[in-house]
Amino acid sequence: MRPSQTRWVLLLAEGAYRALLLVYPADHRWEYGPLMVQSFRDRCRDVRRQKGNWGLVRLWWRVLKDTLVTAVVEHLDELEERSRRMTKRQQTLVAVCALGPLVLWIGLLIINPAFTSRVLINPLGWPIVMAVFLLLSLGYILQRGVLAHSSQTGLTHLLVRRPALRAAFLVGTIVLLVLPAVALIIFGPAIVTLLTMMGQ
Amino acid sequence: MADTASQVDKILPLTPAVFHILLALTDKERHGYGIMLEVEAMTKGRVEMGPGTLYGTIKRMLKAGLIEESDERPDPELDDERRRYYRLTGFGRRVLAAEAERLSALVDVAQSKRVFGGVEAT
Repeated sequence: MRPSQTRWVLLLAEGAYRALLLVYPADHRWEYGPLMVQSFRDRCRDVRRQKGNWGLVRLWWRVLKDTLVTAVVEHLDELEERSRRMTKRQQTLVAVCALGPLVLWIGLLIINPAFTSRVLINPLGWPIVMAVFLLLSLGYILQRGVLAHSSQTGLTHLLVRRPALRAAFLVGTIVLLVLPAVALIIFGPAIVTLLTMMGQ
Repeated sequence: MADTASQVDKILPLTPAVFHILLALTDKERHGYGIMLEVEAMTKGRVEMGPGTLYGTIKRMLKAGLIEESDERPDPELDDERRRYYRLTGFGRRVLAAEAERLSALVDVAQSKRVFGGVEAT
């Protein structure tokens, strides 16, 4: 491989790694992102020199696994840090916002088989689907709002002394981070259909 | 001193990543990639730390007071000034010693139970 080709391969790998860093919380990225990119760049250069392109592929696979696992850890760390600064009322509100829509969602699925079949089998049952999606989004937005507020006010550490509330908060937050994305994927066709119908 | 000892006990046992980084910084201060290379050399290539693990662990070690950033640069002429160097704190050194002693005691137990010397085929 010519030196110019090697340079392009390394630049491409670095660009992809920079994009991958978006999975980390913003604060962590701001503080350590440049240092991580620098370490990755050095690593790529050495691996490319010692083991060639296959070495780079193996390195990329290891770095991908490392990034995804540590991103989850950093997000949990950040949530825990923020939860330490909340008042009891804020923590309760966050837990309710996080778990409320989820409980409602599961409850509807269990109680009403017709609803379940409409949501899971017929994606065109869009009014219900959209309502659930908006509910989930509302819960998520409320929760993020409370989190953002708490990080500015920096208040007490009650959540730390209440493990059950802390666990509910963490589980609920993770679920709410994931659910809107999953809902969007599942209900995407329904939303597109709705928009198409509205356009006609 | 008793207070420090209890602080050390509270932090043990260390995770493998923390233990490896503390060991890598024992003889001299290093930057992130230097730590990665040293860990790999110490473990004969068995442990390869990714940037995510490395800097996540460094962040928590800085917070716990095990390591600190260093302003001194070993060779400013040859080095990239954007790099950050890290070194052990006194507390970090005590924690490392305590963890090494803990692991050594475990190795003694393993020796007394004749764990070493190969596993017999059944």
